Parts: sequence; C-alpha cells; structure tokens
Amino acid sequence: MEPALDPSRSLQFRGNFVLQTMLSVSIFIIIVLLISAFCIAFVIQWMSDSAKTTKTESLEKDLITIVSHELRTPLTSIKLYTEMLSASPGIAQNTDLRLYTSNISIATQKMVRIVNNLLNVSCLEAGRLRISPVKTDLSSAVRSVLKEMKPFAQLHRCHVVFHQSASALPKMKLDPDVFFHIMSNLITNAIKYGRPGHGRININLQKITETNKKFIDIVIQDNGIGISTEDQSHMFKKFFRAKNATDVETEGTGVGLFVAKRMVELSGGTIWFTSQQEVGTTFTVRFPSTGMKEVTNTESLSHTEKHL
Amino acid sequence: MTDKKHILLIEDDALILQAYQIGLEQAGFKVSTARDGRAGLAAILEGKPDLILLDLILPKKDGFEILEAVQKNRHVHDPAIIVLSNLGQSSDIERAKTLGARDYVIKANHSMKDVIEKVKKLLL
Repeated sequence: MEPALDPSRSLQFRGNFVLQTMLSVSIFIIIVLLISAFCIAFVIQWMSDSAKTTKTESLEKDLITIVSHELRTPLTSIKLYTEMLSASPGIAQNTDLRLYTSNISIATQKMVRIVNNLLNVSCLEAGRLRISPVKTDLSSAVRSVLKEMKPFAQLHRCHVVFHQSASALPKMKLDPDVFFHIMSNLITNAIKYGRPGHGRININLQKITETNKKFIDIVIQDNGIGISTEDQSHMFKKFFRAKNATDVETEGTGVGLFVAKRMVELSGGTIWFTSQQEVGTTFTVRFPSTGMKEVTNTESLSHTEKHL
Repeated sequence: MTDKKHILLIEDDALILQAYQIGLEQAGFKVSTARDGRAGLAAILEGKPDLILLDLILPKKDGFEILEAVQKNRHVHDPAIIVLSNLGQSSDIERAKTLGARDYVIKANHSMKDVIEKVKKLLL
C-alpha cells in the first residue's frame, strides 16, 4: 500500500534534494576548477616549451653563423697553402704528392662550400639576404650556369640539353648571384640523382599567361631516380634528404632545395616539382615576366664561384 | 731592383698574412706587412706603398678607419686599395668602395692566383 504523504519524509526528501543539488554543484565547480587548472598548466607548459624552442633555434642559428665565420679563416689558410704546395716544383713533379695535394684541395673546396651553404641558410632564415636584380637576358644567364656546371655533368656522364625558346624572351630583372645559386642547386641535384651513366636533363624556358598575368617558367626535367610519394612533401625542408638520395650519394647537407625555395620565394617567384620514382623529376621555377623583385637587405650571398 | 712595386699587407691572421706575402713576393712585388690597424696606418704614412691589401676586421683600428684616413690624405699619397674580407656582406663591401677601395677579395672564396691577378690589374 502506498503510504500517505508523510510530512517528515517529504522534509527528508527535500533535504536530500538540497544536499544532492549542493553536491552536484560543488562537483561541477570542482570539475570546472580542475579543468581550468589543467588548461592553465597546459598553457604554461606550452608557453615555456615554445619559448625554449625559439631560444634553442636562435642559439642554433647564432652558432651556425659564428662557427661558419670562424671556420673561414683557417680554411682560407689551408686553401692558400695547398695552392702553394701544389705549385711548388718538388710536388708538381711527383705523381703521388700531386695526387695528395690535389685531394687536400678538393676536400678544402668542399668544406668552403659547406660553410658557405650554412651561412646562406642562416642568412636566409634571419631574413637578411638582399636581392639586387639587374636587367638580364635569361637565355644567356642559363647558358652561363650550364657552362660552369659542364665539368660536373661530364664527370657524371650526364647530357644537359638547353632548348632555346623559339620566340625571343624579353629581358627580365635577375639577381645574377641568386639566380646562379638557384639554378646550380637544381641542376646539381638533377645531375647527382640522374640515371647513372645515361643522365639526360632538359631545360626549357616558357612564357605563361595565367589570369591576365605574365610569367616565365624555367623547367628542369631529369630522367633520374625520382622522389617517392612519401618523401615529396618533405623535399623543401631544411636538412631533409630523401631515402633514395642517400642511397645514391651519402654526402649532402640537405639544404640545397631549402635554400633554393627560400630564394625563389624571397625574390617573388614560386617553385614546385612533379616526380615519379625511377622515371624522373621536373622542377619548375616561375617568375613574373618582369623578373625578380628587389629586396633591400644587408647581406649578399656567400657563394662559391666554382662547382666540383 | 728598385722599380719593384711596393705592396703593404694589413692582415691580423698570421698564416694568411704569410701566405699572401710569399705569393706576392714570388710574383715579383716588394711586400711589407702590418698585423693591426694602427701599425698599418703608420706603415702607409711611412712606406708610401703603391697598393694596400687591407683586411676590414683588425685590432686597434679597423679597415674602414684606415680607408678614411687614406682618403683624407689623398692629395699627398693615393695608393690603390684592395679590401680583404671574409664576411662578404655587400653593405660592408659597398661602404669600403665608397671610401675609395678599388676592389675586394672574399678570402675563403678566392685563390692566391685570383688575388695576384687583381693586384696586377691595378698596378701594371
């Protein structure tokens, strides 16, 4: 039988209700407090983490700049004395000694190039690179890069073909050093990672009009090892080297494409590629038909004029 | 031989200094040296060299101060100056050029042969 409404019970019930409400409200408050505490802790942690990364990064950059600058002085000495050694009669007449000195000078040259590359990276990252474009004939600029690269291409038995465009291209503004650096980086890669003994590189210049804007594309196509789909998204990252690239060539700092992309973008262009493993890679550099844009900064490139 | 052209080398790194000294002497020049800016300036005023190879970062007086001093004294003695630099900062190179430097050498990038060629071009 249902008991009649008992006032005392109803009171108890009301008391329970109040207690329950208070309990749930306080639990709610505690949860909110906990969540906010977690959030605050998380934000603090994240902030200190990110502060730490920026601090480490800037330390790393300073270190790169300082070490590279300091390395240049002893490297200069090694370079000069090796040059003097190889010119001295005692060495010039001895086949063995001539080989040794020539190897020292190759290694030194390599080291100078690494140091210059690192300096270029830190200079680009700090946004200190200047771009000083001058009116240039694009075809002859490409030809002069190819002339410099010729010994390297021959060493790898790679055939480089420059397809001159049928219609004359108007002169465009290019920073000669920056242009040389971008192109030699891309062509060096195309040669290094080309089909062994049967490398072929096609270079084309194309006039493009897109949404009423005029561009010039510089297209560098190789028939080399290509880039795997999973590596493609990492290609422009600093210090990244593709797996199949390290299989071919263990040496390499992994800054070439990083530097090239930064340079192209800083000077107002774009760069991209398409690639298929074991078939080849095609890089395209696109500039407005007027050429590179000027960037008034303090530092010019630390370039090495000759390639091995 | 008294008609040898006189080159003053101002460079604080002993090894680089010695290398250029030997190279230039072998190329037939009379070479004197200074290891810091103050000694360099004294050697310019005293020795009146035909050409100066000048490092920019030097103890006691930097390369820019020397360029300024030479420029002020131009009506008396006007030597050709090639700046030796390891920085390759175009701002520095431009500043040196406006202060009268005729050419510049980025030490790590240029060979002895390059330097001697540059010297010969200005002197002979």
